[in-house]
Amino acid sequence: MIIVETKNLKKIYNMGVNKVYALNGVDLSIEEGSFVSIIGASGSGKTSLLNLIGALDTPTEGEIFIRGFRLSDLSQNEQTIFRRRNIGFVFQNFNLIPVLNVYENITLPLKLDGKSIDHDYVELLLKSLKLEDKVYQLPNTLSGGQQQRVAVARALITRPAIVLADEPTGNLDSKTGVEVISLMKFLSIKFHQTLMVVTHNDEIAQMSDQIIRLEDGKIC
Amino acid sequence: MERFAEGNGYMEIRNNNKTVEKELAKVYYKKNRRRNEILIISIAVSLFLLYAAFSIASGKIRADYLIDIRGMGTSATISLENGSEEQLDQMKSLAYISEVGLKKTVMEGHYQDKWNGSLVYVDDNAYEKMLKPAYTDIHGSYPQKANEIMFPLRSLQQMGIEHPKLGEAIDITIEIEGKKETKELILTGYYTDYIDPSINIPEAYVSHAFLDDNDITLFPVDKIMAVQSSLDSGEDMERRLYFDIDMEYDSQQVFSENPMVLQSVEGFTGSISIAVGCGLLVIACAFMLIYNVVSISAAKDIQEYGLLKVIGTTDQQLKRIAYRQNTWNILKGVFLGSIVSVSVVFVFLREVLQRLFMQGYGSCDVNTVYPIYLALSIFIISLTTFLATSVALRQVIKWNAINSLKYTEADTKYRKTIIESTDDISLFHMAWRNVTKSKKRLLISSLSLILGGITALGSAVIMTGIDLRNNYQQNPDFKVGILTGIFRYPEKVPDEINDNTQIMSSEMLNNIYEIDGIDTETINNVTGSYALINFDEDEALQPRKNSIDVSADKLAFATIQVVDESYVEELEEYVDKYDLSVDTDSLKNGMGCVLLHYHEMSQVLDDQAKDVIGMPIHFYSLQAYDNSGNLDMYKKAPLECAGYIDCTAKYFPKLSTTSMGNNINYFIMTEKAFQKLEFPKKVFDVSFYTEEGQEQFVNQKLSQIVQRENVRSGQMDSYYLEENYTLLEAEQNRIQTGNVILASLTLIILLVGIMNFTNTIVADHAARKRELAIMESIGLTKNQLWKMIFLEGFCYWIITMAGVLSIGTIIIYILGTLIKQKLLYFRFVYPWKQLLFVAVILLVIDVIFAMSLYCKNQKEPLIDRIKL
Amino acid sequence: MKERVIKCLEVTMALSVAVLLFLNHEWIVLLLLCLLFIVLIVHFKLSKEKFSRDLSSISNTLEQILQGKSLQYDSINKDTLLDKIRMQIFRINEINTANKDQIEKERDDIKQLLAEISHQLRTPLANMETYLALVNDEKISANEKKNYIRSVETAEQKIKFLVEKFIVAARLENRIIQIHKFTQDLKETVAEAVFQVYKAAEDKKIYIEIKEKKKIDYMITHDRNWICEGVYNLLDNSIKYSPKGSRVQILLDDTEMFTEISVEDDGVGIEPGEENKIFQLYYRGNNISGQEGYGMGMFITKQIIAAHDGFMRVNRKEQGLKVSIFLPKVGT
Repeated sequence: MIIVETKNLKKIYNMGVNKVYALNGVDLSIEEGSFVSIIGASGSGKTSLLNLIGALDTPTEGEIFIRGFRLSDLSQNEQTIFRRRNIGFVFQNFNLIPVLNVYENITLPLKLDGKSIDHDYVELLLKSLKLEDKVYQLPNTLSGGQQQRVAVARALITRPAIVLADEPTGNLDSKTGVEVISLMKFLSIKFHQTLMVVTHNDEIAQMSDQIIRLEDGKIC
Repeated sequence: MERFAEGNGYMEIRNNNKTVEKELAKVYYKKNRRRNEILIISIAVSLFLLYAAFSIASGKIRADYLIDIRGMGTSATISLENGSEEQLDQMKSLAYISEVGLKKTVMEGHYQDKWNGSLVYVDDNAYEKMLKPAYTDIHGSYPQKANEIMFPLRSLQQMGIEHPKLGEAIDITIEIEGKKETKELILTGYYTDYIDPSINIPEAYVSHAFLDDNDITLFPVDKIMAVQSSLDSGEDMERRLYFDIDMEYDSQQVFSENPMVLQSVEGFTGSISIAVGCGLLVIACAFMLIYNVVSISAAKDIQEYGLLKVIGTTDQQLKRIAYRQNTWNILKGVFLGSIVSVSVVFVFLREVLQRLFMQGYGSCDVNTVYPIYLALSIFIISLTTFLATSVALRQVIKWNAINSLKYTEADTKYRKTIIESTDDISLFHMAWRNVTKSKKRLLISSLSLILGGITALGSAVIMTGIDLRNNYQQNPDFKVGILTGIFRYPEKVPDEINDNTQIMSSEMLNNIYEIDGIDTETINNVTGSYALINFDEDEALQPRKNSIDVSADKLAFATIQVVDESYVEELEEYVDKYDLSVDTDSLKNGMGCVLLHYHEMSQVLDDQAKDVIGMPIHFYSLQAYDNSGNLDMYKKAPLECAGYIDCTAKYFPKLSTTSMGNNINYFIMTEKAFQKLEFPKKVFDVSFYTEEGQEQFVNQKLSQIVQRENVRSGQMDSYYLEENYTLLEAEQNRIQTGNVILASLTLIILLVGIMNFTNTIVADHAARKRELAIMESIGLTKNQLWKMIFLEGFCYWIITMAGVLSIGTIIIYILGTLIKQKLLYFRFVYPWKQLLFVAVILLVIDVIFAMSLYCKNQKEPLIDRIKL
Repeated sequence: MKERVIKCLEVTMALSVAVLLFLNHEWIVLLLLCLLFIVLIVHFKLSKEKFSRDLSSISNTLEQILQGKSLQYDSINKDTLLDKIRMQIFRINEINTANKDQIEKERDDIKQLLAEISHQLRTPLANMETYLALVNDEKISANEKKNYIRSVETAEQKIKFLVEKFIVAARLENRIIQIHKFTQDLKETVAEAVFQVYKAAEDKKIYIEIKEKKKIDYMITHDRNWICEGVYNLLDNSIKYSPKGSRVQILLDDTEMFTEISVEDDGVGIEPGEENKIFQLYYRGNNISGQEGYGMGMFITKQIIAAHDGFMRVNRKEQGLKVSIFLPKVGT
């Protein structure tokens, strides 16, 4: 089944004189359960694409369909809940909650939906991402790489149907990066998730099932 | 100074880069419009607060002062009866007396049958310093020549002269050596006064020359009047004067009232220390508001200035840029604040104080603009702003370039690095964490709210407790009686005043009883008689004798009052409760009498008094006064001494008495005991309540009766008329005014507290915009967001209420205790209603905030809100 | 039991209050209380109905799953407990369906593989049978006999090869691959692989060259047999898909963290977008027309390299393909 589909997706900034076409007509279909990597030079619109699919931003033109549903049909609140129950987002700049410690940051999405915490699963994530001895620390005491791993864990905790990751290994060395992606891939197979990763990194791209290359806002 | 600090040598020429600072300052100033507006408003509000508080307080005190002296007719609070020249000199030499004057009644005079009064001479000091300030609309001057006279306008009107003219001739009839003479006196001046015409004999002023012409000696004068320069209370002052000035005769009395300022302040707040405390409170509030605003905006500046630092701005330059901006803000804020505060206070004070004077005290001559306070306030506010700016700047300078860039408001405020987590992190927990994450910020925002709440409570306590209704309700509407009684003219005893002399004549009494509108069931007479006692004879009187400062002759006057059985019961309860050494049985069965004193016994004497219980006391007829030889003739049946009681004690059962105190020997006994003495019963005082609405009418009738009686010659002493009801009304007005002022001040302080709180929350929310957007991106719905912000407000509310309840309760208990010491009738009522009100208001504010913050910010697409 | 007690208490309280009010002639209060009571009852009933409706909705959804029908994704985006449960049910369904599909796919793959196997085996087996029969024929010459026996040997070799390959594939499927690493000369490992394909290369006149980008000792920690197998698979592919007379180049390189072995050919290459697919098991590529193969070589190689904590990279050329192996130098 096609889980994510976009039709003529456009995102334009600065509608005035200096229009910037982040996305200039993108059509794609993603199969359920696949691991897709999105690659391209800086400014090619990768992040914008991910943000649009994750309902964090609204397209200037075009439509996005998730499981056949038009995203724009949902109200803002419904989009929030949709995100909560279906999407795990790893941001490029982590975006952790400063007042909560690592454990709480990771389990927050569960709490928001009133779900119970699967402690074994949390332990698995903590171990695989080498965060066991940082569990009670606050984000401002962690390095960039550690924060990024926490962000990854947070995205995976709810076993969402779609995992969107924007440069999830940018702050990690190659080896750790590959490990993190391997974990994500392993889990995505196990829980039948669709994984979409924006990356610069070729070898990570080659771990994926499908590579989408963006150039100047279009798929090439 | 900076030149040196920069490490340059002496007289080095600074770099010529001043203009960039100005330009940068301008640019940043324009950019930070929001912050500037908030700062300007805060400065204006603080200025308003300071200026209003002090001006209003000053205005009120001044108004009270004016009303007081006008009502009293003089600014002198001290008067010494029948003062001699020596006493005058003594008085003048006292360090704590600032002005001394004298008053001498020359003779009676009347104008046809329209005006009856005294011709009075007052010396220069008395007129200029004490009397003149109490008058308004003064035309002309004090009489200098023997044929000159000065009248109050009221008298002139009473005489039928509606539009008096200076230089006009008025014929006054006087009595010299028994013969009536009519003299033509020239009117040299007239004035408007505000004393109560019903209790004061009308007076007109004549010159010293008039005195001399009629061969009347100046001393002893009727009164030596003085103004004190210290803040001693009336009681304390009396004590001091008795100590420092030799009394000429036994019963010479010094009267002293509480100085006006003290009265006003105490009436307002209970004591001076409280007033000072309030002043400090106000200043603290103003300070906190400004400091808060400045430090909040400083946080944002750190990022901006960090950027400047990165490209090469020195700390000094940054400082100058910041100070420059703040100077503009201060100027604008001060300008705005000054205009608003001066105009508002001007109008407000005028309106409010007007009401005080409306009672018939002339025009409101109180200043309503106080430039000194304005200047002081401006100074304080500017100083505060600069201080706050420099403290905040220190923060900014501290961070090096890169860290400043990366600084977000959320970052530095943590102390904790580790939080032991519990599994269940609910929205409430998160709200609580958010609120308490920075102790400093929590302190600032909640402290001013707590202060506001406590102030509200304090005001409530003061307002309900000082309600003078507490005091006056215990007193009857009217009381008429003899002033000092036999002690006024002791020399008239026993020739003109003897056992049979009526004190209040039965004619007078009947006239009074017949007045329509009196609630006859409430009529209460103070009855008894004057008598003589022999200090040499009765051992029971020794303690009393020893307590009197003046060396007692062996015969002294005594006032005997008859008390009824119910009072004796009350007294018995009192004596039993406080375990006093009084033989109430003896009093009850008519065997004994109790000596009441006005706190005149030392501890030693008190003990002596215990020993003399049961010993006999002998009373003598007044006839014995000049016949010290044959005393036994006039001796009455003996009574036992039942004990001495201090009637100024706190819980002494209230007794309506005639004049007491100051060495007057006062005895109470039952009817049975009085019968034994075989004195004719006389009435000293009569008091009663009136029926609803009849107060004015009864007042009028009573005034007439009293005035008439007072003018008649051959009196023992003059009569007084005490109207409680007008006092009540006048005081009500005063209280209300006081309340209005207190309430407005409280409101302003509360407002400041709310402003502070608002500011903190809004700034905090702006900084957390991003954080909240992140939470929305992982699934926080609007409802949950609303809930969390509401819970945060709720947490603030809990903290604030905890502070108000705990600290506030302690403070108001202390406040109540302090006030109670000064004003005995103060009633402490815990302000539950006001507390509830404050709680509700605070809660409402929280809710409003949650809602308004929730409404904002929802338009932008999520991803833009997440961006740095 | 508890509910009944509570109900009794409530009724008693209500009645006593009502009686008191009645006796005190507080009509209005009584009326208001009655109204309140009615409102409460109505509210209660409505709540109950809503509750049972929600439960029914859930039950319906579950029923649909049981009946194997496809689900409607309506109303799953409200912040209510019902929607959350529906969403969870949908997810479970999705995962189940996917798992079923996966299982079916694998079953199909296995069926296909079995078919392949039987097909592949049939030929050499048939050959063996034929030749053995012929061998037993007395009429043939000794030379012919030798030839026949050699053909049988060839066929046996082929069967052996096939069986081994299938075993390896099966093992890899189950992740039972054991690596024993030693620090040894990589060049020798590569050489061995080359040796194994030499004959096939020679047959097609394909020239294999080995180059070193850096002239060092390539002493790295690896399992010789498996790496050899891996490189062999690459070479095998290159040779299979390259035209006659072309060249295959093996390049050895060394960076700070990795050692690189790349095999480059000028053959048919792959289509754009196939870079990842070629590593999938049984995937045969679009340009392999006519060539034999089972689509397992690349998969096996990838698993071997993964077991070494290394990774692979594929670069398309205008004509041909370059496949690189990266083996880590430090740690495991």
